[in-house]
Amino acid sequence: MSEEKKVSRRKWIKYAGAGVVLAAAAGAGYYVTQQRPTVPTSTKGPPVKIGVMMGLTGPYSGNCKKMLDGANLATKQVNEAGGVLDRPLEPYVRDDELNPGVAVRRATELIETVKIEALFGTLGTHIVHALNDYMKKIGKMYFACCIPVVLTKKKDTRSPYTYFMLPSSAAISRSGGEYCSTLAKKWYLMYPDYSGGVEFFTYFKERLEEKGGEVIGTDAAPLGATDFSPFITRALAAKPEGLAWCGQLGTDLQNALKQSQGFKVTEKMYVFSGNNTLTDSMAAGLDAIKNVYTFMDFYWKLPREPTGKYVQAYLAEYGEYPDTYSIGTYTAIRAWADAVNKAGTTDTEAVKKVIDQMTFDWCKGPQYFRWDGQCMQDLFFVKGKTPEAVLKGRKTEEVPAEERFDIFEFIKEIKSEVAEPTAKEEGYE
Amino acid sequence: MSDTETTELSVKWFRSWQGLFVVIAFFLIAPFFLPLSIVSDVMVFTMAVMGFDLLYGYTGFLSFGHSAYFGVGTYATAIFLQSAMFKQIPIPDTWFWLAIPVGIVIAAAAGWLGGFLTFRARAGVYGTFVTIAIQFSFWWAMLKWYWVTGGENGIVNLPFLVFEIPGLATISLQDMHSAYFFNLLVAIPVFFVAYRIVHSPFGLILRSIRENEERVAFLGYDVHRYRMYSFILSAFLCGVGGALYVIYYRFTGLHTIDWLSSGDLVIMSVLGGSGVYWGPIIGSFLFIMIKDYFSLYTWFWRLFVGGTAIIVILFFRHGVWGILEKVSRATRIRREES
Repeated sequence: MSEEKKVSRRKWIKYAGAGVVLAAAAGAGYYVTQQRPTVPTSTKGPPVKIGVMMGLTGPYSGNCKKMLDGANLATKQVNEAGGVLDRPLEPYVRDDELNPGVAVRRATELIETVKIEALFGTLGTHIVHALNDYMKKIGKMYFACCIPVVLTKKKDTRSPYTYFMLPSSAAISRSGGEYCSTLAKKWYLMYPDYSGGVEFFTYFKERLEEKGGEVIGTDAAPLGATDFSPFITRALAAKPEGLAWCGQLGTDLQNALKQSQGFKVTEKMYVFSGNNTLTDSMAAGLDAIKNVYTFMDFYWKLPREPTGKYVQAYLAEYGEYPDTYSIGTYTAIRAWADAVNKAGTTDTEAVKKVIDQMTFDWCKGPQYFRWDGQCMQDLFFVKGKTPEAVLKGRKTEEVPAEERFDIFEFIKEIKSEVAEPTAKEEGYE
Repeated sequence: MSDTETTELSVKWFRSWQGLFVVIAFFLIAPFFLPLSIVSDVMVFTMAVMGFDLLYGYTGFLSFGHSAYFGVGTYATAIFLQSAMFKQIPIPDTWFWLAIPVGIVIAAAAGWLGGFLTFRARAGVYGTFVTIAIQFSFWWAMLKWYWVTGGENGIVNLPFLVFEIPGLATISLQDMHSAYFFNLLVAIPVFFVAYRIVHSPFGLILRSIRENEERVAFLGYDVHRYRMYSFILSAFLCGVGGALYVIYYRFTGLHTIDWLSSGDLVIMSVLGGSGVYWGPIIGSFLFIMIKDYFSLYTWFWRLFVGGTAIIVILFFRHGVWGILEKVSRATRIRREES
């Protein structure tokens, strides 16, 4: 090849590379306007700033996107109702990359540079741990919108300004164990092999056995496992009356349920999943969740007026039905804004005094904050419908959205007061 | 510019150790106009990248698992602090600073083990694969050993250091600013030591190994031994970064020891300029600033970070330092001609 052609190819690569960067920059410019809702101006003063942070990139970005949607909807509704202290509410969104070091670094920027009044969001107990510690030092409110573990809520660990919007691992597991004891006596338990999974499993087993159930076998699957067939085979060989997936989340749960159906497990025994969401269930598919009993802390078809209002607003805004992760940030921002308006100030201590006494019901039933910052709320058990019941002989694309998302049969609700750890367990007594 | 040419800038400070005073001045002043945690991360990762670059930039060996030693440094420091806090190690609060040398020594020991295993597979691509395996082994150990390391929750709520000057004052690092300036006090001599290492005859031998390993062997030097020394020193520097990370944040977790962090070290080194003392400082600053800046505006910030790294690798082989050098040389030549 001639020297001339070599030079041309290099130039072509340079120009192509520059073109890609320019195109990406243009795309980023477009997305800048999509990140936050438009904040109205006000003559009463500058906007009240809040931080919204979650793993927008990384393995749980899908769930985190739902959290952001909930936060944006809450902000919009707060501003439509007149804002906070007659000033608009302005969210500042940050990606914590599901990395606790990055989360603290970006929280530092939000607090020192942007000067936010409170922080909302975050997914992952490791992030909550790190931020709880940091926010305790800073003395700012932090609303953690993921499942908390008991360790973070203990008296000597928790910041007095940290609040936990979703039910704890103990509440989810204990209520699951108690409910499963009513379905069958002999259970085989599966859990993901990491400390969080062990916690789910321990609480589930403890309550199941307390209520007369029997654990005839257990298995710990590696976190991120894609092949659950060896575990399912061992479970089937033990001949239990029920198989419980205690603590699998996200793609782990999707794979576990799909492969269970491959073995026709639900035809042989009860199957329970302790930690399901609408997003995960839709991703797993109707066949995977068929006849699976599951715990949820939110379902869009709850027969309650606030749920209906929230669902309609979410549907109008995003064109899909809301999930568990959206209600955490939504409820937290609405509750905080309400508390600030009642307190008449954004001062942390004053707002805390109000919010600790408040009861609110934005989307799923009455909720309030307990002495350990835990948001107390109703918990629900549902059962996956069969594909025939949902599709009714139609193709998926022919089914209207409302029916396509109506994939669970509501069974019962329980109060989190019976399942959350006691004051003694958390070191408050 | 070839790899053997001396790296010099027109600004005479950066021709010698006096340039370090500029770096120290930056770290002293930056907290007043940048968020503190960003500056702290730049300082901590500068040391980790210096460690990585001692191996990659000076001996030419690419380790894709170097966050293992940074992570071991953080965990060793954190476990010591936690044990001391719960009186499992019976020392008073004013002796908690011992966690720093403990973390560093354990990281260096891990480096010895890592180097031993890596270079049994020989340097080159086989050795690189071994470094990845070692890093995953450490990561997995920290995940599974959860009753000590906290698993995926990490170790949090660590105590802050307290220093007592008898009869004078008690200094506590509870405030993040105090912790940062303490870390800077520790980092300054480490920067000087690292400078001395790379500009010593030892550093020259390492560079020679990168240029022509066979010739160095024929000159009578034990190439394997020098590689091992550089691996241990590199883990030592990563361990310093790790220990100071824990002193500032007072927590640690799997994110300090995962493969993404290893990749970040490689990008920072390449971005700043590998094989050059100032490269890690420039690279860690630019990388953290680019990441944080772009993530404000788009979720696709990884595209920009990756794109920047690709452009630098393809067209600016010696990183940003190489660009500064070219500009400096062109300016000097123009000045001489005019």
